[in-house]
Amino acid sequence: MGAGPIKGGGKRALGLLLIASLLILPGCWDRKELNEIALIRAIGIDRAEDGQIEVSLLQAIPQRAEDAGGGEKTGGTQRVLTARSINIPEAKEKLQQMLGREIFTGHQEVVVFGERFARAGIGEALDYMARQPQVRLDAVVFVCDGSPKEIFTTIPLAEITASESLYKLARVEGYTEISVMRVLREVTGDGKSTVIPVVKKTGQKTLSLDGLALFRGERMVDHLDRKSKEALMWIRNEYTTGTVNARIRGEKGYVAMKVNRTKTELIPKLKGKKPRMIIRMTSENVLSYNGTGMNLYYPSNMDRIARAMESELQKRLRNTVEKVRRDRADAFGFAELFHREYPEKWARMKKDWNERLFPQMDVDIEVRVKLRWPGMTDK
Amino acid sequence: MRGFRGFRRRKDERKTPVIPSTREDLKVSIYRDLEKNHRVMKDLFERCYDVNFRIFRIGKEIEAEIIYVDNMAHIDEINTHILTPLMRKSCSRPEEVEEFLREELPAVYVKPVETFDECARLVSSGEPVLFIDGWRRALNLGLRQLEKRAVSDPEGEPVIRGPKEGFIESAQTNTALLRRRIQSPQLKLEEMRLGRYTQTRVIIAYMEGIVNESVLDEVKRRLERIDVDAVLESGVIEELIEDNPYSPFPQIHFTERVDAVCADLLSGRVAIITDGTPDVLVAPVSFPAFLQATEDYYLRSIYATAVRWLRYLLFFFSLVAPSFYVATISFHPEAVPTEQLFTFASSRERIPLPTIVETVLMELAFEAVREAGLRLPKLVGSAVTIVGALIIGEAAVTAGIVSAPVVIVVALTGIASFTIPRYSLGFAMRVLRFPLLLISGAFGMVGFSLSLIALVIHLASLRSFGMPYLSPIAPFRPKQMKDVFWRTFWWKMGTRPIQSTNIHRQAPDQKPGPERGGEH
Repeated sequence: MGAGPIKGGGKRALGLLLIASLLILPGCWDRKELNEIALIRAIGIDRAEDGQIEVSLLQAIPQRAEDAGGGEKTGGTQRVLTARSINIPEAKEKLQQMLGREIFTGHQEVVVFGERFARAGIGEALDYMARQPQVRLDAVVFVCDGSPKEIFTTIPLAEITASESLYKLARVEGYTEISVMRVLREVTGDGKSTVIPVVKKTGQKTLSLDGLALFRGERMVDHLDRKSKEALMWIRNEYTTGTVNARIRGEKGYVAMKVNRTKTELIPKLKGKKPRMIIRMTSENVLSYNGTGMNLYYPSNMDRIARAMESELQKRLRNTVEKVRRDRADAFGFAELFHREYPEKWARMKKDWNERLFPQMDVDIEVRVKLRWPGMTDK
Repeated sequence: MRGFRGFRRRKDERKTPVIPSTREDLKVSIYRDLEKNHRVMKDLFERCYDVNFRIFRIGKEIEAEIIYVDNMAHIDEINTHILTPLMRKSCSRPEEVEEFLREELPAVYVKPVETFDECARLVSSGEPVLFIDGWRRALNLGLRQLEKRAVSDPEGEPVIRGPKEGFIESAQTNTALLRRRIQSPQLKLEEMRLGRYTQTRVIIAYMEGIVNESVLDEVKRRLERIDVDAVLESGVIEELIEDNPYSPFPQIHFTERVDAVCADLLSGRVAIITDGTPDVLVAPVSFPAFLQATEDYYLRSIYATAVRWLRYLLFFFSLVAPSFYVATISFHPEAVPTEQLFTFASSRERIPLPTIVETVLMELAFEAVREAGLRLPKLVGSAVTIVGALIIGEAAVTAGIVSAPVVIVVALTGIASFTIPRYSLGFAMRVLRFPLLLISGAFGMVGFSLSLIALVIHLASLRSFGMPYLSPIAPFRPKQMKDVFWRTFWWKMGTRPIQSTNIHRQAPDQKPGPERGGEH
């Protein structure tokens, strides 16, 4: 071709060459081979006694079956790395120094806050996670009693990593909804409150759930036990099961009912400047235990049980509502409902919502119970 | 006149080289003198040991000569029905001979020939030619007998249900097979010859009144354009008449199934039968047709539809599976479900090669095994396959050279590619898989999806004899979707898939049922 302009076939060849070089020259800039990344499955954030931030990472270590040795058929194992520093990014830098592989948080499915950290405020952690594009916002969140490190090193039988077990615990309880995303949204939302499940170590190889941590703003203010947790989730219209025991007037012993399906209507009302909330819960349930000897063949007896259950449920809801109101943390999401229903009035209501309006408003609770399945026996 | 002719010839020569078989100087009438004729023919077929010149006397009076090619002419027939009667006949005048030939010669096909080039062509095609002294004409005796194999199972496209009869290498047999299935004078079979040296007989088959005339004209025009030395197989024609020669996608079908060609003809397509190959070309075709197997039309509609969906899925799989795997594993590991990724990661440990290299290697190995198995004799072929499968499937994983998921992906891709009913489309997929794989390995999901988009754009811009390649999907013709996403019941197949004036293929209201001519 020489010095002249490139023509015809030459031009085409040059074009092909350019395209071909495009394949090689940019390199595989985003490529991460699986054996060059450290798969992080859980992150734990806690505050140490000296006030520093303590970050623990749970790294899943994949192993080829034949390398695992010992005849065990494990697909891998885990390890926990911990570092302390003044903030999370610094601590993570330190952790990176301990790893030969790049920290990969794309599968970080569990986030655990130590209780001390939670009580001091999780804002820093939320800020960090909201800024990292690599972090999964659908990771489930826990608050732990003690240090996250301890939780991570507890591997229940039948699981390979602690994070797996935490995730499965969350799934059983319907907590997978409680993600980093939701916590972020609720903490910064109208109610400025949220709940995060609490996990604790209850044995050498046992992790168990223990109610909910109630947050006002970014700080944990209270710990709701199992019963309050159930009531709270029912009010929020989130799926959860639970068992209710009740005594029937004039009978000996207890009846027990498994709450299977609930549907709650929340109706916000505004009378002048006074907000009022009507909680209307209907629930369809299974009678699971009859210790009274009542003959359930008679519908009237079933009705008596249903009424007793209604008052029992109502009592439970009432207790929870009052408890949460005392903590001035609107974890029910009432604020958002008022905002939606009365958008123009919300602007005035919002500044003293958690301090005055929410704790003082009227809350009416109506419960309707339908009993199904008395069982195979009429006793 | 002479000068003008000479001028024209020079011009022609400049444009195209001289074609020996149609040399101008052969377009000479046959002489009256047998001696002269003999010299011309002998000269033409000089150094052709297989061409026989048999000079004899008719009734011991008139000299005659029969020229034929060994093993192409029917020697027995020539002996008993031509030579014997002619030699025994006593006639002295050429007219008597002619009368005898016309009235008493028991040959079906006797045709007078005027020029030498015609003679040469006929002799070359195997038909004996008879020269008689004192005649300005030769006689073409249609006593050709060519070696051919029997009609047999089409090995390339077997079916469980359906006719087990495929085309063979002889165009005459093939047209007979067609005629036997479509017994209508509307089945037109037009003959033409292609290839300067090979003079290959090419037959254009179509159904008059059904075929789309403009497509037919286009096919004829494109065939007439062909001016090459040799047409040895229909593949040559295919490459010379297709719309986009650079596309990896086939734009013309080839099949050796008689029933498939009949169905295509009755849909309004044009078939091109090439002498010397069992593969018949069919045009125009659209992309969905490459995923329709012949058997679909014989199986019950519901099965056929189910199988067709499976095929669509696997077709897609055969193109994208390895690329998708590479793109997700090495660029977007966060997109893989956690537990799944963990399993992948376990098998990736201790593998020294990057995923893309691993996958390309395995794909190459698979293609190697496939190619080796195809080319080798059957006995050795199976051995190669076993060794290949063992080495690839077992040893490579155990040795830690490739990871197990890659083997699975490659194996599935390979199996999926075998489900594509048309060989030529399967080839396109095999060829496209590699660039797609490399792009995915370099650019991840971005490259992968852009490549797919580019592919769809290319497909949408392709045409087969003026018919959009993606029709009836794009342009969308809902009425013709009846044979794309599902194979409609035969009683609902009311219209033909190709645009033609005669669109209705059956009477309406063909749905069967107990009240439809059952018991009474």
